[in-house]
Amino acid sequence: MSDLDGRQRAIARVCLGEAPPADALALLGGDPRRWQVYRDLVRTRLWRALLEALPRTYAAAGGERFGGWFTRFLDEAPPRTRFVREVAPAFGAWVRAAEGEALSRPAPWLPEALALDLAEHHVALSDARLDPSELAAFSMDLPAALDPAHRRVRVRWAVEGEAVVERPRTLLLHRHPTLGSVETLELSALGADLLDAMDDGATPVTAAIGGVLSRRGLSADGAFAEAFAGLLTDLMEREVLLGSFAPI
Amino acid sequence: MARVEGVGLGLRAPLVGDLMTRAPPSLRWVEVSPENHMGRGGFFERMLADARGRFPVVTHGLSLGLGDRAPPDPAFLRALRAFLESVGTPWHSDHLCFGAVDGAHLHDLLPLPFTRESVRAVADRVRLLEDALGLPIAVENISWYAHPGDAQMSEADFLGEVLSRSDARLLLDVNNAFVNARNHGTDARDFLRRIPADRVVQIHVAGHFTGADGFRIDTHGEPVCAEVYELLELALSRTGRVPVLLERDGGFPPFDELAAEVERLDAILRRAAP
Repeated sequence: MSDLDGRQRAIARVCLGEAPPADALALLGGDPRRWQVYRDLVRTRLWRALLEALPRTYAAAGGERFGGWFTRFLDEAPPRTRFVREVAPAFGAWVRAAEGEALSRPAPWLPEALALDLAEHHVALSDARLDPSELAAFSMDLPAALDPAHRRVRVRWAVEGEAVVERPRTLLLHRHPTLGSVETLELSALGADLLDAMDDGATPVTAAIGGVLSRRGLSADGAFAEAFAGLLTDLMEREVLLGSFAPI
Repeated sequence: MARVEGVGLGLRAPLVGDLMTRAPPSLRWVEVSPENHMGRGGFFERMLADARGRFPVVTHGLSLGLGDRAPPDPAFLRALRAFLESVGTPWHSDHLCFGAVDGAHLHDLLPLPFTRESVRAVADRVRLLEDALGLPIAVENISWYAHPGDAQMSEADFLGEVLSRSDARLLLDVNNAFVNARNHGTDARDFLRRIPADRVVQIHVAGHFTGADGFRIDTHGEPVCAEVYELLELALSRTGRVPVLLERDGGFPPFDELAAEVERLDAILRRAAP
């Protein structure tokens, strides 16, 4: 290890360790308070990025637990991405792996708070897009083309006033077509199943909805047709449904 | 490639609305950090598109890690080169620091020791990066709050050696020179007199935070102080009229206050010899 390597590793240990190691501070020399400045700068920037991206997770976990995760994350698995925006997904994956089933112990809605935060973060920042040359006008006889930046999240819990109540549903998160803000649409159970079936990029819409209705023992009656047309129109206006995949 | 001259402002989300609708006439260009935009859709993608439609763009990186020890990531360099070409920047700048160790990214500008080993490491990397990016690299002097271990030379000599060995350009940050001088008891004017002025392609000015103990932190969150304006005049007297950028990353004031800072910088720049 070169002298330069040694000094850089010492600074990293001071900044990322659970506490600044005495041997690293001794190697670096100078006033330890100035190395604490670097430790504070590194940790504050990353902490702010996590709070901004994961507000529901922080609220559900509580500051002490969230702070404990943060300390362990930096010590055990510090970010390996150069992009600050990718730190929250890395932290979320680490929390899930580290906590496993125990993640729901502090609050049963904590795992879905994390899932919802990460989905919102993805939708806000994603540059995933379809190639326009692959698209055609919407047709029931072709596979549906859905915006790859959107996310659907199944949740059991809902915040109602001051209380958290059990109310299973699916939330569709997408970017507002003009404002760019993340919008949320609540889907019925049937609507969620239909979108799941339509979103494989290969099955024609007619076949996709036929499969869902068959599994649910429903028929494509007039009421269904009207409701389904309303869902498609809404999704097109929101630019979640972009058309169909053109036949190859 | 658009000609970059006069005063620029860092493109930041809280500023973009005012920038696009009522930028002061003396604002001539914007500076963009590729890491804030690469691979990012939505608001940031549109913000960059709008800005490019109105201003020349110069890029300023956050993560090239000129002093990092691991080889640069080829995939990132390819993506960065494509981004730099897409915005038509005349050069790409990044900081004279390291930011990643053994694969861990610390997301801050961490100090390199002023040693011959550091000089060789940075110079080799800068040359490699210039080849990979197909553009001149401008190296920025940073604010440093502690020196790791023993130094073998002064900061000015370190900077000069890096530039000499790498043939890189210099992005001179006058606020960083001031902050370092105050924190370490040196003379910012002496530093500015010793840097190779002919290498300067761009100047940064910004505000900084002063703690209760007088220690200063480069935050870009406060107005530019009077001493930094004075140092800018000294720097320009040596470099001639190079583009000057106002950095503001936090504590955003009403836009008129920023516009007044831009106008003041423009007046100083116009007084400098071409």
